[in-house]
Formats: sequence, C-alpha cells, structure tokens
Amino acid sequence: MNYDELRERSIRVWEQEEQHATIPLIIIGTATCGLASGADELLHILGDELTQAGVQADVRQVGCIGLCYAEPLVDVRIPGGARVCYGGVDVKKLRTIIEKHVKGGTPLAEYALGSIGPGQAPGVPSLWELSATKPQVRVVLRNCGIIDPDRLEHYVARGGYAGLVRALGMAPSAIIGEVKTSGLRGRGGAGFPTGLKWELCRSNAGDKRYVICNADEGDPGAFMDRSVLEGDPHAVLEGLCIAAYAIGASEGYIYCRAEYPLAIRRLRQAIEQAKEHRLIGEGILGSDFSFNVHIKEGAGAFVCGEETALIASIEGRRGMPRSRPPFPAAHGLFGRPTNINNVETLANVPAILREGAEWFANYGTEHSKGTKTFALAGKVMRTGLIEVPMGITLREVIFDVGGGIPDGKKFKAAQTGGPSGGCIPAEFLDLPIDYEQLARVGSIMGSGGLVILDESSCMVDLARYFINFTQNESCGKCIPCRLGTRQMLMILEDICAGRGTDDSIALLESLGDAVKKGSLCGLGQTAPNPALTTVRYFRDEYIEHVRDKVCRALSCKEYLRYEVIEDMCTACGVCRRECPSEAIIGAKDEIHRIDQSKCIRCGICFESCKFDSIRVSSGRYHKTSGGKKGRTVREKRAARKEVKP
Amino acid sequence: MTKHTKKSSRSSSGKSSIAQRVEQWLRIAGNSFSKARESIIPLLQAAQSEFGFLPNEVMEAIARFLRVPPAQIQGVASFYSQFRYEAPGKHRVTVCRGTACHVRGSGRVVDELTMWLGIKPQETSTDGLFTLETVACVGSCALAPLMVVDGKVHGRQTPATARKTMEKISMAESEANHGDKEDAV
Ligand SMILES: Cc1cc2nc3c(=O)[nH]c(=O)nc-3n(C[C@H](O)[C@H](O)[C@H](O)COP(=O)(O)O)c2cc1C
Ligand code: FES
Repeated sequence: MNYDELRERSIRVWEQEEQHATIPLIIIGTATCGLASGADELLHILGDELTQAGVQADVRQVGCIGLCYAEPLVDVRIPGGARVCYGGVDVKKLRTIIEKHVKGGTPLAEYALGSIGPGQAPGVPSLWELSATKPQVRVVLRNCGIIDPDRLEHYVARGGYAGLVRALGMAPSAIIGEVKTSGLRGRGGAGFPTGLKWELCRSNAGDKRYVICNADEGDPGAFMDRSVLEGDPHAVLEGLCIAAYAIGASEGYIYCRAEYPLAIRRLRQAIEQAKEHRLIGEGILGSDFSFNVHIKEGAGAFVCGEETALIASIEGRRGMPRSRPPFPAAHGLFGRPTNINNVETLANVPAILREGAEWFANYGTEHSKGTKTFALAGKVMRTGLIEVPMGITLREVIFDVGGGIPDGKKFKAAQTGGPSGGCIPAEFLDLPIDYEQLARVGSIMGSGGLVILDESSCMVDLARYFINFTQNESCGKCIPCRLGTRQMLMILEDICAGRGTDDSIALLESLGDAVKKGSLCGLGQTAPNPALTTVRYFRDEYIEHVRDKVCRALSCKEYLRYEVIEDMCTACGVCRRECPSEAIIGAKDEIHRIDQSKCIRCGICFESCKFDSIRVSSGRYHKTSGGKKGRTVREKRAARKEVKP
Repeated sequence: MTKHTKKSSRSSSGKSSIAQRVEQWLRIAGNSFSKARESIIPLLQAAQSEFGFLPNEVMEAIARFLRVPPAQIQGVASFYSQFRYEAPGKHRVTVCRGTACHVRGSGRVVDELTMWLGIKPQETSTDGLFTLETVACVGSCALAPLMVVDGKVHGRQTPATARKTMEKISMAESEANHGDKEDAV
C-alpha cells in the first residue's frame, strides 16, 4: 500500500468513527495520570455497566489531553452529537453518564467540562474556549487525548506522515533550510537552533551517521515528553525519520527512561506499525532511503540526559559526560557524527514540514518561535500539561490557564527548568516566557517543568531539595561538581537545621559561582542555579533562617513549635492517638498538652486535628489547624459548674 | 498459602541452583542480544526483570557471555541506580521525590513510612515483606504527591493515607500467614 492509499483508508476509518458512527462512542484517558486517578477501574467495569444498561457503545482509549487536575476524564459522543468531556468521573458518575447521556441521549451539563467539536451540546461550553485552554495553542499536543495512540490510521487521518512524504520529495539541504527558517530551537533545555544542529552534523564526513531522540526526561517535576510519547508516539517517530533523512543517518536510537513503561510500549508498537507500512525500515515509501530505529531503556541516572553521557550509556558504558568539543555532531555514537534532539523538538518537526516554516514562525517571539509545552504542577489549581505560544506571560500561564493558587494562598515563586533552573519571584509575573527572558532573570526554559510555589513553600528548603538531587546525581567525574554540590548541600542543611550563620549565605554564593564556572558538563554548570536564584530573590528568608532561627513558610522542622491551644481543646483524643512519638499527654475531659522534649515536629497532630486547637509557630509566623468548632473542655467544665449548685 | 510454599522452596534451593537458573535463562534470552558491549545494560535489565535483582551469578554469566571481565559488568551496573543487588521485599513501596511531589509534602509521606515500616528508603524490612524506595519523578506530577505500591499508582497522598495502605497490606499478610499455620496443623 502506498501512502496515498494508506491516507485515504485512514481518513475513511476516522470519518466513520468520528462522523458516521451509528452507536455511541466512549473515550477514556488512560495515560499514566488517568490511571493514577482510577481510569483503569472505570475501564474495567465499563463493559458490564453498558451491558447492564442495555446499550451498545464503542470504547476508545486515548492519551493525556492535559487536564490532569480533572482526571479521570471520560468523553461521550452519541451519533450526531458533540463529544462531551466529563471530569472527575467516579463509578457513580459513570453510571449516571451512561444512563442519561449514552442511553438517554442528553448530555449532563453539570458534570461536563466542555465539548469538543464538531457540533455543540446544549449548556456545555466548547472545551477550547475555557480559560484553562483558550490561551493554549496545540502543535505538539494536537493529537494527545484525541486519537488512540495505538492506531496508526488515527494519526495518518489527522495529517500524520504527510510531513515525511513532503520531506522525501525535497533535497536534504532544503529541509534543513526549512527548519532553520521556522526558528525551531531545541526543547531539551539549552535552546540550540535545530536546523543549524542538523546542518553541522550533516557537514561532518563519516561512513555512517546516527540520530538519537532524547527521551530521558530526568527533570523531576516534568512530564511533557512522557505525555507526547504516550499520547502521540508516531509524531516523534516521524520527526526522527525526517531528521535522519535530512542529516543522512541510517540508524536511530530512542533513549527512554525506564520509569516510563507505557511510553516504551507505545513506541515499540508504533515502530512495528510504521515498519509494516514502510514508513520506516528499508526503502521508505518506495524511496531509496532506509532508516532503522532502536529503543534503549535508561537505567536511572539523571546525568544520562546529557548528550555525551547518553551516548556513553547507549554504548554500554558508565554514563559519564566528557568534555566537548568534539561535539556529538562530529564525534558521537560509536565515534560517528550524531545528532541528538529532544522528544518535543522532534514532535514539532512533522508540523513544520506539513504546514510550512512560516506558519510555525507565526507563533512566538523574535528569537523563540513556536510553542512550548509545560508540565504545570505544584501549588496551582489546574495542574496538568499545557502548550502555550512562546512569549505568553507567567501571569497568564499561572492565573488564566492554571486558575491561580489554591486555598486562597498567595503566589510566591515559579520554578522553571528543574534542578538546572531557578525560582522566579512575583515581581516578574509579567515576564514573557522565552529563552532569553528566562535567562535574564537567572533561570532557564529547561525542558518545561513549571512548579508553582505558594507562601507555604520554604525557599531555603527548596534550594536544599534541588542541591540534594544534583549532589546525588553528580557522576563524580569532575571535582567542582562532585565536591562543590556536596559542600553546598551541607551549608543548606545547616541553614535549614538552625546551624547557619551570616557567613553561610556568603559562602553558598561564592561556592555556587565556582561550581558554575568549573564544572565539566551542564549538570554542574547549572546545579547552583536554584540556590543562587533563591538567595538573590529571597535573601530575607535566608537571613531569617540564620539570624532569627525562623522559617516563615512553617516548613523547616527545626524552627517549628507545635502547641495545643488550651482554650480550644475538645479533648477528643485524636492527636494523642495519632502522635507517633507519644508526645501528647491528656485524657478524657482533660486539656491535652504536647511534651516538647518528645515532639518530633512531624505535624501529624496538626493535620489530624479537626478543630482549631493545634497551633504551629515559628517566631511571629503561625497557623492553626482544623477550623471546625467543637465543644471545648473549658466550655464543658463551665456548663457542669452551672448545673452543680 | 501458595506464596508461602514458594518462599520456602526458594530458601531450600542452594546457591548452585541460582547459577543454574541464570545459565538456563541466558541460554535462551541471550539469543536476542548481540555479543557487543552495547548489550551490557539491556542484559542487566532483562536479568533484573527475570530475577528481581542482580545476584553475583548474573554478573559472572553476562561477563562470560560477552567475553569481558566481570569487573566491567559490575562497573557499569554500579553506575545506574536502577540495579539492585539484593532480593526486594514482597511489596514494593515507592514514593516520588520529584519537585512537584516535594512541594506537596512527599517528604512527610517518606518520614511516615520510614517510621511505620522501620526501614529507610532503599531498604527491605527484616520480614522481607516491604521494600521502601524513592524515585525522582513518576511523571504524574499533577496528582502529587504520589506513591506506587506494587505497580499501582496512588495519587494525592498524605502521611495518613499512605499509612492506611500499609496497614491494609500488612493485615492481609498476617491473615494469610495465620491461615497458613492453621492449614499446617
Ligand atoms: C544534566 C543534564 C541533563 C539533561 N537531561 C535532558 C533530558 O532529560 N532530556 C533532554 O531532551 N535533554 C536533556 N539535556 C540536554 C541534552 O544534553 C541535549 O542538549 C538535548 O537533548 C538536545 O536536544 P535539543 O537540541 O532538541 O534540545 C540534559 C542536559 C544536561 C546537562
Ligand atoms: S514530581 Fe512526583 S510525579 Fe513528578
């Protein structure tokens, strides 16, 4: 079958399912986040529920549409109707949805998040018009949550592999020119222009060249690449194939972290399907271009995301980076010219070839074109996966798309770029997000982790957390990184544990500078960023820790004191039973008390107290538990006294 | 019950039988790997998913298979945190320590589990029931903090919910054990 036939058949299949279906279609998001919130359970009972209700329906499993906060998501489309997306579905809701919508034909506006066209459902807004989705532009994520990632026809029907077909009809240099014109820059962190990278690799002579897709995604707090691999694996494969053709590579590797078993399974399947239709393999689509792809599973080392370490790891060695030059473009995998691109970079490529460089360059800022996906997480209402045009402000992302900060708390900082990035304080909320602007304030774009912090996050603790991470992951090859991060961690631990002095802060800064300048690879060169940006923007918090021994976020244990508010204690005994170190003394009808010498400040009493009877404080900062009103011991005693005489 | 017998058969089988099992496994599994250095990590991964950990016999067998010194295999394996050298507990409890989970309190979940299980992260309880692990990011940050128990992902954890899950498992285990003993009598 040639491509045109494949495309025609795929469109027929897709239109049949999407427009001419005769029975209802039920769509369940079964990416990792969906499964984590119970989608597997829904899927498990769905068949029985449908039988019980006496209706027939098709069931489609899709990847992540990005609205992770509302998982599990179940969509329903009845013949001729719009696709209605329901959020937070549990077994009970599912039954109602089957009864009313699937069987009865009436969408349940009260449960619906939105509808996905064509067509409309009464009382249900379009899903793409919500404040969470309206500022978004979907290039990389256009298929995620829409198509069944296990079905090649779905991908092809929506324009899949058209980019490859066009590329195969072009001269490699013209493809590189097109990618250059689009302004696409690497989404793996550093933002190196992709077209230029390809050109450099192509210009290096060699009997063989390689392309590698970097799917290591080691940045903790980031899951964009996972979602793309799980939700639209063919897009990455097509991008890799186009890159191989442009560069003149005959073999490719996808290096995927082992923690993503579903992504690996989907990739394996996509490769098999693509081979079957000669979209990869020998003589692709009847041309004389051949390209084979292998999958390599990572083995749990963050540094293996760095390109030279990644190459060492594929070769079966310890994953240690080496100094560059020579760059992989000249001397890479097995000593051959090698091009490494990130998952998201590659997923952009088919769209650029299909829609043209100008279309792509329409989005973004002068030097940062296109869109960027972010894993929006932390203290924000609508956590999830988003894709926004470059140049959008942090404020729009956090407050419009993300819906602001939960529990009425205040925004404190946005952490971008993971352990290599920095914390951006509220004063830069109107900063347009692009490579240059983020670098200007001391952070980086990174791969797209965006963790939002509120006033209950301690900035010193966060710096300690990241340095602990990089210190653990440092491969140990170069001294500034191996010893420097260790010393930085010790200083930060001192500050968190009440042993810090004014000198600690100055030492942290000078050490950070040295580690940045002296380290061999990107890991060490960026490892001090979280510490240095927090010192820069939140110095007063550091000073409070070392001088006043106070943690305003009420997070550093050493600085906390838990107490029972005697007037409010109801003697319910919950805290006494829950306390793991038996530090709470009390009995029935007796005001409870915390034995400070036994208290380990775990905070369990605070959490378990339903009433506002437990207080945690640090200097002048404090907060009170629970919130429910109950009959306090004092009230009970007063009442008894009144009765007695 | 069946699980119980399985365990006792494991302990009665001697060291040589591990070596035999490894040889047997490699004779078949080896066919899908090239005898090149490139195969070290994939072979170690395959062995670990077969045996649950990497006994010394595995390293030696892979070294013979690839015709390299065992130290080279050990050297590669020790670099990567995925590899384990002791049998994991029956139940694997993994807490995510990624950024999103950290700011939503995964540290306190780890503290609680450490206290409840009496083991530190990356350790196995003496009764062989639980292994506690931490990982950098499960990739479902939107549902932070996360705990994975025997492959099932639990989202939005607190110290209390995590402990309840442990209590449930441990209760089921002691009931099963009790049943076993009664059967034996
Ligand atoms: C410590 C470290 C970790 C990295 N981790 C990743 C990663 O997980 N994924 C990724 O795509 N790039 C990662 N990179 C960047 C890669 O070295 C490389 O620049 C990137 O894959 C190039 O692809 P791009 O040009 O498409 O961005 C990392 C770099 C360093 C220094
Ligand atoms: S930080 Fe825990 S899942 Fe990503």
